[in-house]
Amino acid sequence: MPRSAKTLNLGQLRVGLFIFVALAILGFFILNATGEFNPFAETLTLKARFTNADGLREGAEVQLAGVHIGKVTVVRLLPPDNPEDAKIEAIMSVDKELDGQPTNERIRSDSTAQLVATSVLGNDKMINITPGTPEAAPVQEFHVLDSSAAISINQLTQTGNDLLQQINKLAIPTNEILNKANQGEGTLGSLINDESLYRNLDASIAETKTLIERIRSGEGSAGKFVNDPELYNNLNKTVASMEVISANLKDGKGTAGKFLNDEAIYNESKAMISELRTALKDVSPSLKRLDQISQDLESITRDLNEGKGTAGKFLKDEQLYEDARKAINSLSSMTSRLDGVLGDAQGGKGTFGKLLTDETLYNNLNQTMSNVNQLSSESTKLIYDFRQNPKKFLTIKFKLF
Amino acid sequence: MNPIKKFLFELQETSFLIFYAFVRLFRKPRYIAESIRQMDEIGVGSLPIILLTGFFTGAVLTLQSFDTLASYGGQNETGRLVAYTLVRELGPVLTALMVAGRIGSAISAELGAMVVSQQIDAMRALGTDPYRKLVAPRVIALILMLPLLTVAADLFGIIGGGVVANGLFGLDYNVFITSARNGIATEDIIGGVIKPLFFGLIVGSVSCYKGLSTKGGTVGVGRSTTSAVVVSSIVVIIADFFLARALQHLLD
Repeated sequence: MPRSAKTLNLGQLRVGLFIFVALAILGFFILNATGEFNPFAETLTLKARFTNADGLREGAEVQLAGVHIGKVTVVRLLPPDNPEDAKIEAIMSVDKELDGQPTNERIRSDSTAQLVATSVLGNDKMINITPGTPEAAPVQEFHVLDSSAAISINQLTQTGNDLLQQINKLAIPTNEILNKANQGEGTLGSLINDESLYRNLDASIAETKTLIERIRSGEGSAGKFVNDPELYNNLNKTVASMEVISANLKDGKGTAGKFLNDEAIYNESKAMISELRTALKDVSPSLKRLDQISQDLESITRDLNEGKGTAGKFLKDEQLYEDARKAINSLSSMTSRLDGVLGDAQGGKGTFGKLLTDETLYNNLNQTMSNVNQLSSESTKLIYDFRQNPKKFLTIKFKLF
Repeated sequence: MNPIKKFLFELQETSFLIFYAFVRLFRKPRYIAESIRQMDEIGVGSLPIILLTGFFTGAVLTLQSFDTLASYGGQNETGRLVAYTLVRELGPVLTALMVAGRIGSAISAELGAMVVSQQIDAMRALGTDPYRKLVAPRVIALILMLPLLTVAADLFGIIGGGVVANGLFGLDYNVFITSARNGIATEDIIGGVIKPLFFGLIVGSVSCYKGLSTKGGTVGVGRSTTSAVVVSSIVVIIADFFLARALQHLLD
């Protein structure tokens, strides 16, 4: 039963105090469940300058590489005499620590701040900070980040507008060209409006059609090629024969088959090669001797070169050459004289000439020889008779007086 | 007595009230028949106003949001919007507020009149624990009945939204129901049922405390009735915020 609340000191209210504090802590934890509400977190203040706020508002999100790290606290216009292009300044409050590491380990002096649209619809913007490289120094409090332009829907629309204008410009000459073509002017016009090309094409197609029909009906070489099965049959037969041959080869029939399949040739060849090898071994002493001979020849040649020995002298001594030349000269003169003599002889001059040209001597000699021949035959008969009847001739009549 | 002290004192006394009411549930005697009577009074008795509230809330949601959605070409998603809003937020809160108005005032006035006419003292003298006999059945009945009333309000809200969308804007019922079903997930329904449990506790304990702490005769009864409705409504709305935040984090 509730007591009277008239005379209470704080000691009697400790349960109430405790419950109040407990509820307050519970409420705080509920709010802080996603870590977004944390009034005790230390923050780092950064600045970025832009030419146009473009819908950026205080309280807008600040992201580092797309991760929420804080919010924009102030968006303000810079003084009009500011020398930079930038016209507005955004002051951002970001968490001092991210996952236990200081934020300025990630945001460096070469990080840039971009104005990014939060959605395709609407014009709300947020700031996206790009992570810096390790070479650059970590940012300090109130560092002014470089800003880089991110394309916004507005800019995109602007670009699209420019593009449309360009297309519009292009459309006018295109229209003229098409109009001319429509009226049959120029190549394109002729192509579109003149029927002759179509007719020619049509005729070509018709001819092609008849050609194909003729081929189909078997006329001409092409027709035969397409329709006549003979070529195919022949080819088929050839292939069949080839098959038979290859089968024979495979089975080892015939010379080629044996050649492919029989190991005898291989073995013999192998034996032959080994024999050749032994023969070559036998040859090698002969070769050595040949080598010896060639060495001797070499030394002989050297001697010859140096003019040693008879042959060397023959080759090297000029005396011999001189003598030989003289002899040849004498021979030459002798020959010329002989030539003269022979010429005289041919002409029947002199005894020798008469001897050569005058047939009388030959006739006389012939006569004489025939006479001698006769004489010898007679004498042969005589000798024969003498042998038969020596008494006929050897009757020595001693007549003494 | 300064307001801070008064606030802390009331917080303390309400906490004691809840504590005693629940701790004494574990020991006999339990007044189960009384609890069921209170459930009938609180649950079934409140059903008509809850259904009407739900129905017209859904209807007005559709009425107000349809044109806005249509300007984005999203009128087919009206069902989604109505269902989502009702199930997660408006259903539990409006039910709790209506129950605070209807039942909180009734509890507070009843108990206040008993205090003023010294029936509580008589009960205690006869050996009956007023926490067990009067507070526990009412709080239990509120905690059990509020989620059920909330579900009824949600359902009728969606029906009301559908009727308006079809009747005034010509949106097909199928479209409305399909988008409503797409709009709500199981987490939304669970969250929408967890909230009324707390709201029931708040309304019951605040009303019982205000009734039992009535002072100053019949004028005091009126004062405590007013204060019971006002305080429980405000606490319900404040608690709704923190509950919504906690449930978002726990369920989504």
